[in-house]
Amino acid sequence: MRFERKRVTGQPGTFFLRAARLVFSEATLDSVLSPAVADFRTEWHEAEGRRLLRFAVRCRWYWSLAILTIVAPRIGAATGDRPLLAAVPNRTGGWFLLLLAMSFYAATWRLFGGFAFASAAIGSMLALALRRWHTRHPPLAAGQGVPLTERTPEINLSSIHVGGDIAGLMFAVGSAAIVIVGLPGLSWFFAAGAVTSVAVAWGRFACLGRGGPIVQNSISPR
Amino acid sequence: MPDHDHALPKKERLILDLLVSADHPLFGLELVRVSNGSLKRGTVYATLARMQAKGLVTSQQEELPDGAIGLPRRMFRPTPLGKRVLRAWVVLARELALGVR
Repeated sequence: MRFERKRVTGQPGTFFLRAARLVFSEATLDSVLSPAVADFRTEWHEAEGRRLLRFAVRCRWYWSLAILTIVAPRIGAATGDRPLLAAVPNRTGGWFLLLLAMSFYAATWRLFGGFAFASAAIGSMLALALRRWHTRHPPLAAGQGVPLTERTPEINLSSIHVGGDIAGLMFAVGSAAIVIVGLPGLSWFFAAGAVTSVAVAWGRFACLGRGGPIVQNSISPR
Repeated sequence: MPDHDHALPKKERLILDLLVSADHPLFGLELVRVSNGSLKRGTVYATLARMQAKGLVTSQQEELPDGAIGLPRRMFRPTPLGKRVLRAWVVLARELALGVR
């Protein structure tokens, strides 16, 4: 049986791919997720003119992509790739750290209310952004030479070293956003602090000279 | 390499069989369709990625024809190792069947 490629005019699965880019590495996207979406679009196009069939194709593929999202992290581990979620079910206690965090949020839910939810949401987005940065810039990735699955998960913020680079900026902005959600009355303090720190940074940059070495991305557990 | 990498699960065997039988590279949806329901859309690329890591299949993105838009599909074909593994498996299965009789 031979399938002819047709002109694909619609773009179902675009949002899925955009979201997947935040979570999975290029290798997983390239070998697993993008081909699946390409098949989705092929089948969707083949159903052109038949609305009911197109609806069925969408339903079937959304279900298939959900399954693929669940199994993709395991594929990454098998193929030596390092997607974001591979960091969780590792042998150094990732599951227990996840359980501990969820227990903490469950226990403090009534005390902190919406702040617990907001901090979890912002923290998750920050983690995704940092992971994406590390994935896209492997030469600058922290913990070079140490496989992701062998790194010890850290919960103590003081043991995280933050470098003066894009990842460090993301970490600082994300942390400040979480505190502002909890203490909105102090937002003026953070705004003033941001302005002052930018001024100080500019002053240091101007005084110490340009053209110096770029500080490596160095957010890493000690 | 872990021992389980040498195993050839049923679905991998089926995919190898389909790829060897075909006279051209196949993409995931084609494999799902010709398998008569034995392969699923949500897992076929997972299995193919695992097989590629084992060296049983190889893949390359298809070249889009002029004017076509969208994502290129990934076409799979068996490697010489994959063909040898499948042949060995068939021989083994035949020998086992004869032994049972």
